[in-house]
Amino acid sequence: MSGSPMNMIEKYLERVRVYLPIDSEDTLTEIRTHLIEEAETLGQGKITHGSTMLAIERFGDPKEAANAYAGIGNRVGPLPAEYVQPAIRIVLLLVSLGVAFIIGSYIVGLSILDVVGITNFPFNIPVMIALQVALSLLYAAIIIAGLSAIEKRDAPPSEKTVLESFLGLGSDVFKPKGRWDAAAEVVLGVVFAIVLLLSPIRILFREDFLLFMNVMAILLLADALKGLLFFIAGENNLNLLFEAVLGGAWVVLCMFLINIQWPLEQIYNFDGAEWTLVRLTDLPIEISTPFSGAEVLALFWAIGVFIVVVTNTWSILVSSMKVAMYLKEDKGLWWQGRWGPGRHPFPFRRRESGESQAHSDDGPTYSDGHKESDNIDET
Amino acid sequence: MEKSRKNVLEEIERWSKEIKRGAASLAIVAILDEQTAYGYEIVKTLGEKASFLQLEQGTVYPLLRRLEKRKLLASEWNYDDPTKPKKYYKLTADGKMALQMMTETWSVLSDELKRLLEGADAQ
Repeated sequence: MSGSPMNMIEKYLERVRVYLPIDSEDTLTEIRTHLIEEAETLGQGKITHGSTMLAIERFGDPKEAANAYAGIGNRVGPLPAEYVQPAIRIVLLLVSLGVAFIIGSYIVGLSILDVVGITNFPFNIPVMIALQVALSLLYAAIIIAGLSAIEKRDAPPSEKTVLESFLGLGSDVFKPKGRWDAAAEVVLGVVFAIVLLLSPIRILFREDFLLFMNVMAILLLADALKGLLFFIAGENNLNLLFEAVLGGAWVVLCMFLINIQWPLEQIYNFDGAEWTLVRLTDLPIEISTPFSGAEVLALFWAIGVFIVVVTNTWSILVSSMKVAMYLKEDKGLWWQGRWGPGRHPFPFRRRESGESQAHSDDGPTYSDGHKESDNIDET
Repeated sequence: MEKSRKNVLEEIERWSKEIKRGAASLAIVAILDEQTAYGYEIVKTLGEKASFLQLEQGTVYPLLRRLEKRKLLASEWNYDDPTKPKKYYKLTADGKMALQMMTETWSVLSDELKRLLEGADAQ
């Protein structure tokens, strides 16, 4: 088994996470403490590789823990009880992806519903959702059954099975935003908003696009504000609602953007002595395709709008699911939430400090707002 | 013969799991009636005082979570050792009431089963 003792514990916790409901961070923190204490006890005060492995083995199979949580017997319908939570997440994931792509396609003028022959709006909406759920259930069932059949468990207990790696995709999606990711949103939002408002940039675009540039700048600043809220308070309902509303605003903007033409009219060109403006139509470019230059640009524009719609629809759906989850837990609008693991901005410093990559950037942060650095003495 | 024995053992295993699952909740609530404790302490106490349950350690935490969700337990985090935050559990008023009812149910079940088994032995 590779990795430090703490890394082994984190990898095992990832396995446990797969089987638990989305809002199980507290349970995972408790289990982490348990494994550390058990490893210390077995290692006579020190956490060793061997004592950690034994502690993990004693803790038992994550599926058993999931069964105890479910407490409802061995099967739910055709599905073993321990797979219910991860299967729900995977179905939600597939349905959300499908819905995001359908909405994106509809906005750029390609209706997937037309393709399958159901066009009677608005009655096609429940049909579409039912179709999505049915297909997603079918895919999830086939994948779970298939991977279960071929799975041979001879890996160490801290290593995910192939099936768990697949089911883990569902839990990864619902992890809170990393703190450094939130910080990046702040910086990028402000920088791009400023760029859109600069005269030397605005001059490159068509006159009728300038109003949309102003709206985009406002939305980017709102994105930065959202990032700041996540950076300060982590994930809570207010921040998630803000994210969902902002995602909706981007989708609405895209409904307008798709109806205008490619907006970039000119680019800067350095002729050896100075920067001059060159109109795109004056560029001596030969395109060896059956399409004209204008058609290629229109395609790029549609793809760009499509990507923005899909990512924002996805964001709306995931935020809505999380808000529903927190409301079910009787949480209010604002609290000091948690941050997920994010990309560390200074990876070389992380390596120097020997910090486990499986840990959050700034050490664990707990649901009641407590936060500390991770400085477990690894032996 | 071998197959028949296997069936019996499977049934015993299943029955045993079901009994233990029910008993584990009662054991946890009983431990917390005496003192507040955090997860690892509860697991260790269960191992010492209720070894017949032979619980996988991993099954205790989801049980604690379930009991807390049903308001039988209340919890508070303790960060005195920042590397090992501990969630301390205590019994709520509802939990005390549940313990009383569970104990009564268990006693009745135990007495009646004992009488039933004594009767079976006598025959």
